[in-house]
Amino acid sequence: MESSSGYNPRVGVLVVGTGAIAELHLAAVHRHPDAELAGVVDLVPARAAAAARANGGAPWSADLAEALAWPGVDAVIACAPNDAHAEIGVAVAAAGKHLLIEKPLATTVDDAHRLVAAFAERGLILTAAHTHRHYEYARSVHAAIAAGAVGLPRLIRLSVLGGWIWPDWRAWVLDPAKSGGHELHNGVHLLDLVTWWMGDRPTRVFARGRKQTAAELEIHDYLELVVEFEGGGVAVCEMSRGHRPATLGYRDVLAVGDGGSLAVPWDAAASVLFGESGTALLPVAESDGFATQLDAWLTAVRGGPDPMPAAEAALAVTLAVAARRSIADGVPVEVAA
Amino acid sequence: MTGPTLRARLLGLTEQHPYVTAFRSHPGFRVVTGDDEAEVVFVAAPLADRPRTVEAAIKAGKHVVVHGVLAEDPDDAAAIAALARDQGTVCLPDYHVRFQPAVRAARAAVAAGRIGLPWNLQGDLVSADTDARPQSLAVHAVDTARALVGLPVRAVRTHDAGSVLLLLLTHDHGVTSTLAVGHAPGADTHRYRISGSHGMLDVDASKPAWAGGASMAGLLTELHTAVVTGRPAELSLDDAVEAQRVITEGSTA
Repeated sequence: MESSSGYNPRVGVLVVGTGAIAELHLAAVHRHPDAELAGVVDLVPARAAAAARANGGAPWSADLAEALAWPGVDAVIACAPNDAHAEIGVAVAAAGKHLLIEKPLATTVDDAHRLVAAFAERGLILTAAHTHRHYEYARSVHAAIAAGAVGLPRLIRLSVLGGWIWPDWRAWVLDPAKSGGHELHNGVHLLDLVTWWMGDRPTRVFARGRKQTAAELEIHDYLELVVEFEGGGVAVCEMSRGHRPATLGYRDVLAVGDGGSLAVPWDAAASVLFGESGTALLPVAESDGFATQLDAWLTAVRGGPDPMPAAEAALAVTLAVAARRSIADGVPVEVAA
Repeated sequence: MTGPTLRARLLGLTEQHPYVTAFRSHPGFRVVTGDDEAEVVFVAAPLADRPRTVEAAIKAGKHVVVHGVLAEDPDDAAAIAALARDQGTVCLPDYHVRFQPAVRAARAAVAAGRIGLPWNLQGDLVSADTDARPQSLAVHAVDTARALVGLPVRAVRTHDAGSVLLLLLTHDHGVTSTLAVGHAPGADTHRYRISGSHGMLDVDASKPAWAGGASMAGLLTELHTAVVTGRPAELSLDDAVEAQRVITEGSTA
């Protein structure tokens, strides 16, 4: 980031992992005036080379250590499968680079805390890509609750329901050894949001899961995650990739407090299109959460406020792991203070 | 509406209560003030007096509608339900939500297989009436969930958040329900979502706009039909017992 003038606002970003989610991060990097793509890394050389070609001939490597040593790399966006997060994070911290890492921060609570400590010790920014925090619906709910719209929140419901999106049995998300299970892969989004909205410390998790699409699944494609908070409030999160029809895209928020209630129902956003082929919903153009997220992270990297402290991402991992255990044991799981 | 008009005595209701309007506007009923002339008694006595009042009405051979919770103690409620069965009169809890037009349509759709096998229900009943006890509202939500999925409740967990009560139910076949009931100033949320193997059904029980009172009218029609034809009503005090057990026997540990 340093230059002869003493300050270069542009941040050189190395993108690690070149899957579908990386494309969204890359698009955000290309659009941001202060971000510069410093290179791409993928364990599979052909994928790394293809991504480099698709992104203007950026440098590429299949070796993370080598790429971290390239000049111009100030920070890293990591989009590798979840089980690689801890190893990548440790390497990035050791190299003295800032990190924006796809959620979950890690697949174990110990690894999550290890990463938080590694970056804190070196004064580096570690951010987990809890992108939903950067969507307008989530920000507006947070702002309304923080402004007292419902008084003291007693119940928060968040439902994100959809059909099957993973291609086939080869999808790494379906392997709990790689993804940590659906609780960690997608559940952390909701667990983080409701904790952020509630503004209180979670104390206990009770969860129920289903293998709705196929009995042979090793993950729960439908999750119901109930989080209890210190002040007596409760949150119910539903995260589904097992709904029918497969085209379903359903998001619903309800917050009830002692001073009022707030609803962002599923049908509050889309327009209705009456066409010759039938009636359909016309979704509104959502805000670009990836762009907002990148901007917030770059702001923190350059010494500004950190909107998503790494400790909160670690808490989301703790909650997701507790949810997984609750489903396995059929009982609530306490969350340590 | 055909058949005789039934004389109904309303106990414990203020003139402004929606059930008073429902009875007065229903062609099958005429509101009376004397115990002796009444064939039907609507009991909205305070909960402490309710079991005794219901019992007396049943023993007097009246048909009875019980407002809200039948008895604080589920065993007392079960004893009253058994008495009603022995007596042979028509006795119902006032669980009118199952007769609300959108809910009735949803019940029929689920029963016809339009969403395949139901596997989950989510429900929210949040009232603007800040005097409403979540436990009193909960019996309506529990009954509606049972009516929608058509399955008994086998296990329940609860979380009391003060003005909101959360109920996590388990039915047969691994079907689950989650109900949030309570109150908040200005709130008006009453909805059920049923997920099935082949579809999903989203029911807004606060719609349609013209349906105010339709659910109570539906319950009264069910009562009237049962009384005048002898056909058993689709719900009985056994349903009140079941709803009460769900609320009182929920595990929180």
